[in-house]
Amino acid sequence: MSKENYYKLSFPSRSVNESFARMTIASFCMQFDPTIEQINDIKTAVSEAVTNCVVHAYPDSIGTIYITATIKNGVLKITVKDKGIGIPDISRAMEPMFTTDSGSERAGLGFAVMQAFMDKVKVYSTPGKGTRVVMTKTIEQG
Amino acid sequence: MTKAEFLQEKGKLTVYLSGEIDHHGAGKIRYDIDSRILKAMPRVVVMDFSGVTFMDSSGIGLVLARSKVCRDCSASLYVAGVDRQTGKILSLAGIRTIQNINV
Repeated sequence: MSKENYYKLSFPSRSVNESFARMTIASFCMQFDPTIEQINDIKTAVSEAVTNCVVHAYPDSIGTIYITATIKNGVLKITVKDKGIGIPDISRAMEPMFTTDSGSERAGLGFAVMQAFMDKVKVYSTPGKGTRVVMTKTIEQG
Repeated sequence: MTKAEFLQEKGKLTVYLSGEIDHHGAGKIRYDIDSRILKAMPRVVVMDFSGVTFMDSSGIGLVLARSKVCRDCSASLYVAGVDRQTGKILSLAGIRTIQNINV
């Protein structure tokens, strides 16, 4: 049995919405009977991607964060997109412990967590235009 | 709702963390934790994660920054009450945890 489903969501880059983004992805995934560990992994990865938008994409203003999640053949694909400042050097940004946010207490491990908790993470970015993070994870045998 | 509650006994300050630790929540409790450490000047600080229901890499930042504060006060920092999920996050930064601490 192959179930297909999707949702699209957009919301302002306020830090209070980090938990909102986690709750919506968790609710969406429940229909596919994931394990508690899978749900926690997915929530954590989404939390990191959304926090990156809040902290880095829109550092001095409130912008819009767009989330699309689709499930097809047991594979969950989540896209977290912003129209913020973009990332000039993606491979550097993805290095563990690298952060441009010296003022606060970011550990520079956001992408490392996404990579550890999801099967695949791809990042597309254009400086001045925005960033798109695409993550996939198999949550049921398709 | 992220919360930090404190128990001070002799030279030990235990910080009981609860709720969801993300970027939003960590920002709300870090100053509170630091001011309690600086006020108590303990020899040992324990961050207890047993009440934490969710944590992302903001938890790593929360621990690493407190370890600097503790170093400046000559206090030792321990991390306790870590479950599978919080442990998975902390281990990415090489943070090891303890079961019990008796001072």
